[in-house]
Amino acid sequence: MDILDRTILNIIQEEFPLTEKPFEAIGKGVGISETEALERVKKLKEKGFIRRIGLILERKKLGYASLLCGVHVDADKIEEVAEMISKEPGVTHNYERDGELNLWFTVTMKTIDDIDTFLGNIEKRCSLRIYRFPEKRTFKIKTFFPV
Amino acid sequence: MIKLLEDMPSQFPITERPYREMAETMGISEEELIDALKDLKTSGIVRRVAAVLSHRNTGYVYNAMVVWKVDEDDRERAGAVMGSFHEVSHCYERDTGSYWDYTLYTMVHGKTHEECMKSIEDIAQRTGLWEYRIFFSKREFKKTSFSMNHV
Repeated sequence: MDILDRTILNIIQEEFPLTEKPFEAIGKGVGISETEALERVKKLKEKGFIRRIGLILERKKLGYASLLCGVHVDADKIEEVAEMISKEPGVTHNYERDGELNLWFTVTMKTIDDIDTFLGNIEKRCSLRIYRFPEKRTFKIKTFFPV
Repeated sequence: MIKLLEDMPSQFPITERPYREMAETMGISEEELIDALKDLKTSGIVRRVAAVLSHRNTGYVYNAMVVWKVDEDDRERAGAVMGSFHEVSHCYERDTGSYWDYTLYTMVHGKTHEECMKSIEDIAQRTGLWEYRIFFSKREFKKTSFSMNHV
């Protein structure tokens, strides 16, 4: 990654142009041709620096429910339980962390009842108690990593 | 509008005219797609059109969930301060889950463990809040984006 790649990444992680020729716009911004901008972004994607280019949706405005959950799972069961949880498409994040509650995940579904049903099933099947941390106020959601 | 979001691929093709290409498979014109997305942005349903970077591949390997004990009447101020750190990607007030007394939840990212610890220390300093706990991630089992055609 050279300085130009970094500049492009910092621009497009903020905003990808919503115009007919987005790479022409990106190129103009950093003083290179459309073709070069396109080739650079393609490479950044291939090399795995870019996970995806797309829409970042506001799930609340779409009426979806979401919940952060924490659960203690015994060390010898954690992979099995994590896999069972991750299999659900509504689970967007799932991490093993330090601490007594060692598995943390977020579930997004159409309704809170759907989430409850999902969690209830996991609790029953794995004999676990899942703690629920519903959101009360959002102060920030914005992932921006200067590169 | 919602139908359009369901029909949209979760990632754009990286080509000269990505909107035209997507519009073709969706059976609408490029102009219609761009206009619809502009409207969705204005209404706030689409927060941003952007590239999502891989934390790992860009070097941001460490992430810690930090939970903070904050008095109710101080949360607005504290949340705003925490959110002003670019190292903080998410900051929410949450219910305590009948588990503990922590009410503000932040996700702190860094290239090293020390960098994360330094950011957390800075947040504590700036907010004047010293009752917090840090939970570094040890393993990532799943990380995706919310999308209409996945949920």
